[in-house]
Amino acid sequence: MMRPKILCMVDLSLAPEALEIIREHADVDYLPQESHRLVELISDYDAFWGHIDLKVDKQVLNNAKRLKAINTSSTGTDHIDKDEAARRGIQILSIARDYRLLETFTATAECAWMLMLACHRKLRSATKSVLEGSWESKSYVGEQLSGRVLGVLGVGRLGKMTVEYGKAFGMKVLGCDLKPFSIPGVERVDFDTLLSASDAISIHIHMEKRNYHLFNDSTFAKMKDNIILVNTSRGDIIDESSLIKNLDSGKIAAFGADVIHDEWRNDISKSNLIQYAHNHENVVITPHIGGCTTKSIVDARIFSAKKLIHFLRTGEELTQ
Amino acid sequence: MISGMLGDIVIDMSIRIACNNMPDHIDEGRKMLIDNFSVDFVSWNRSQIIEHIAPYDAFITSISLFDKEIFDVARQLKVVATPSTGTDHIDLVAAEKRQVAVLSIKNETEYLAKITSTAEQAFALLLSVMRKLPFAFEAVRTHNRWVSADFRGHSLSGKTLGIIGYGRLGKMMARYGEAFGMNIVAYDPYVDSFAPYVMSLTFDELLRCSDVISLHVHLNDTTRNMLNKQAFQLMKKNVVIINTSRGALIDESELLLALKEHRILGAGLDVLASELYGDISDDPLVQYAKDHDNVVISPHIGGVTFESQELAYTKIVSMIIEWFDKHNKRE
Repeated sequence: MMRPKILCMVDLSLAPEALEIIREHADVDYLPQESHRLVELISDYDAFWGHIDLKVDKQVLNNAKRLKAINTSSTGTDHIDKDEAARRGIQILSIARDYRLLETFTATAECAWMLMLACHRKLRSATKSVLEGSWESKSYVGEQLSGRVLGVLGVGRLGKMTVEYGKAFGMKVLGCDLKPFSIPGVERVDFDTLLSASDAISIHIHMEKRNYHLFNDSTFAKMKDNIILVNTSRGDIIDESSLIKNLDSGKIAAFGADVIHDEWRNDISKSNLIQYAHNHENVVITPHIGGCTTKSIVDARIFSAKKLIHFLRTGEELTQ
Repeated sequence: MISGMLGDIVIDMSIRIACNNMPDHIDEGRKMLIDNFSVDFVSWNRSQIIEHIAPYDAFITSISLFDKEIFDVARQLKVVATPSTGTDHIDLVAAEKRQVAVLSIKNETEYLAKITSTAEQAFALLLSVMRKLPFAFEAVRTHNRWVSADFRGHSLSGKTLGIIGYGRLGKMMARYGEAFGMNIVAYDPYVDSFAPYVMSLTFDELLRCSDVISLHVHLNDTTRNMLNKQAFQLMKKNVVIINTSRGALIDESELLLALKEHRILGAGLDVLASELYGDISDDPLVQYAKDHDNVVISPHIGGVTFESQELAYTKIVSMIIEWFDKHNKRE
């Protein structure tokens, strides 16, 4: 059997073991991430391994003459044109169902909680003013979390962690999920109740068609005034033009995001939300660092390497 | 003489109180002061306090220095009150010598249980240091850069959180850490009982095993400089230090040195020793934080939330009312 050819554009400097694993069983071209080179080179490879901030779209797949697998060390796969990949019989390998591995990945929930606290305490303006030489605190009067109502949308892996954080911080916790769940100290509510009863909402659902712009003019209208909203899932769950309107009017007190609409574009300064952040203090945005901690990156990449090799050798998906 | 009514207690409206830097939103505390005293709401720095304090019977401070020189000119002063648990900004020796009562909310347990802001701020700083929040945001906002790998951080789960001072705030911090899957250790020589998930250690043991050290103690002669050169030498490499208590608990020059020599991973500070003197712009830690993403400094906003300030001011004002009521009756 010929050794498969893998194009790897994901940074494995933290996880050299992952690179060793794929090199042992395949011919690997390990290159820096560049989308135009991906389009040019993809035709020569049996498998591609890339990071979530590199789109694998129709243009790329049109050239992917012999591609059998697209590998990603993430749970989300919406950077890949899944319909086109399916049409061409290309397998997508992600870690979305590797539950035992994912149980150990708390990074995204921790990031959500950081944004939650930062929004409640006007943290980014307060820290910025110190760097400018001021110790004035009057402008940064925040809100306590304890005693407030936390609404968690999506009580899956990350939502379950988030409800525990909320309980420890003395919040009343509501959870909304299509699937039933039973967690002590968490009240299961429908979406409308979550919107109308929460002081703060954290989003932990996947991006599916039915969740596109789930937060829009009519959902925002159902919320309490001065709500704080945190999104670490996917940008397109929120209609950003409606969000900006509601931030501007003060309906939403603050918004924390680790994801925005079209974060794959090369020039993010064109994002309406980032333009809004230039002259408003009530948004905090981080560049999709949710899962980005050393431990989770190393563990995910090593497992992804094993998964890719297993698939190329057996045609089956390895799960953990 | 004009009198005000508080229930059936008659209070002398000629009592003059100056209330320094009260936040705008404290409606109830403000009303209680106006109803019971002749009150001036002021925003004075130290030299203005010295210039104007002479005729006042009571003074409500913010966290700024209230030292011997102020006591020397405060000829009418009977009460100095602070809506905080710490009293280290007030010269207690001078207060005693001048027979000025110092009121604080230090022992108001029932009220304090509702005031979680400072522990929440400590955790906010911890997460922000771990994930380089201020720099990550600036990259997006002003540098047009969306590269997550630039801000690779550290998760809290699995790490050891060392809590120095297992009092009200230390206990809250322990509860937060436990929910985040951290191992919790604590040092407090005055506490015998710890939650089941907290391991009590000696000071040196805590320094040796903690990945995060968070300070929750009052500043006094035994705690001043408790994180000194010797303590820094015992710490694990890549420890993160969180201080929301008082700047002078840490030998800040040692902290800066440890940062510069990459012996520690980072620091989250809501307090600086220099803050008592008004100007922090030249503080070496502030200078350092300008171009290093592992130090996050906030301007002592630990207790600065609507809820906690309202509770603290309402309580301290009622304590002042009670004090004058009791002492006027006695006279």
